[in-house]
Amino acid sequence: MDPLQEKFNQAKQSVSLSAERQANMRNKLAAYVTANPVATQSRWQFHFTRLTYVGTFAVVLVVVGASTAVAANGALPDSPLYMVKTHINEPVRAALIANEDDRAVYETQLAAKRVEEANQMAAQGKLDERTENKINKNLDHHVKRVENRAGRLRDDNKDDGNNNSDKAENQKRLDNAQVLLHEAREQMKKRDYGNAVEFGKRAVESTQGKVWEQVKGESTGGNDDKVRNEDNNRDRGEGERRDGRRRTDLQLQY
Amino acid sequence: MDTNTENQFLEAYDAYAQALYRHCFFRVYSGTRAEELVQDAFMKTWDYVRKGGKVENWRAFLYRTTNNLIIDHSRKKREASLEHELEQNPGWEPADQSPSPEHATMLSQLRDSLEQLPEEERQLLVWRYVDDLDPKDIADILKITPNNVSVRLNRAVQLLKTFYKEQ
Repeated sequence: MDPLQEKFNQAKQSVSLSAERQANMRNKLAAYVTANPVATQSRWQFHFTRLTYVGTFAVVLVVVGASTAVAANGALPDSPLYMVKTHINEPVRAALIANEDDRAVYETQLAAKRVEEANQMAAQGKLDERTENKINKNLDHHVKRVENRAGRLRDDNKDDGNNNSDKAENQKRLDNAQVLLHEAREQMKKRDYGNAVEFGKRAVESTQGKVWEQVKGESTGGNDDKVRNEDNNRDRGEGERRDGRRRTDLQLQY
Repeated sequence: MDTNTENQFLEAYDAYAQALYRHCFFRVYSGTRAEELVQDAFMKTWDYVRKGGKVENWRAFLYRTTNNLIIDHSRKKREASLEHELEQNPGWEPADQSPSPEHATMLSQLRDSLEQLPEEERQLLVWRYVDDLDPKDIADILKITPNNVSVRLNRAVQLLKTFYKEQ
């Protein structure tokens, strides 16, 4: 053991809050909580918050034009509509997703989309440094959000003693997704956009029920034999798990 | 009444109060002060939650809140006269237990070495060696990269070893 850690461990032995003092403080806090309850959001306030996001999108449609907002969906970085897509359409859509795990799945899909955009631009000979930086910056934001959600699930699972199997499964999928997205990023650094797109697709797949056990060191393309689809192997009906509970399938189509 | 949130809050207290107390103790060298800081941290956390704030990671949030309170406490301590401080806090006294002579010596040496360090370095060492947080956990609290944490931690360890050897 690290000698410094040992010294601290020895020092820590005499430092603790007694059971009595801990209980006293708990009672005080419980009384504080009772005296200062959570402000309950009324139903109309809840809907108002959601409506604000929908309203924002509606304003964009009016100002920018419905066809413009829709046309922006397929825009590439060299299009003036690209900003509408990445800074309005996608964030508004993300805001409308209430479930945080689903939102992380959406961010995975967006990250894969960024990789695909880089590939398309490169194929057209239009991927200059400025465009590349723009795409990478957005990609990093999406990956960070996936990482953050995976990290929070990891902490929650630790706190739950890993007893919540749905959360544990979601965490595993998001962990795999972020590893695959990092690989995609690495391939982009090497300017191997085709390979990067593959990793992006696999990242999206990993949030949809297939679990990758070995990600590092994979060669490109045609590695279906390495895919371990636990759900398929169980030969189970749609939505059913081994223990009969409904599967939390992070399947989204956005 | 939102009983789910209340339960989560009290469960967080049961899970982290002891660790936070230990953390505060090694930062402020007073059991009484450490206890006050822990209570304040939980109260501030509840105030945040009851006004609609969302806490995703209770541990990180509590450590962050506690850290801010300790920093405020350090600033106020610097403003008070040294003589007054010595009257109020004659030494490093745990709230409840009298350490054995060996532990008392260890505490004293560690305390003197830690006291020589800048607040930032002391904070990192306590997180790492008292709270057993790894660089990623510390990075979450400070909102910096784990790599940054590792570099600063290494520097803090070297500095502490220097002061410890000199005793």
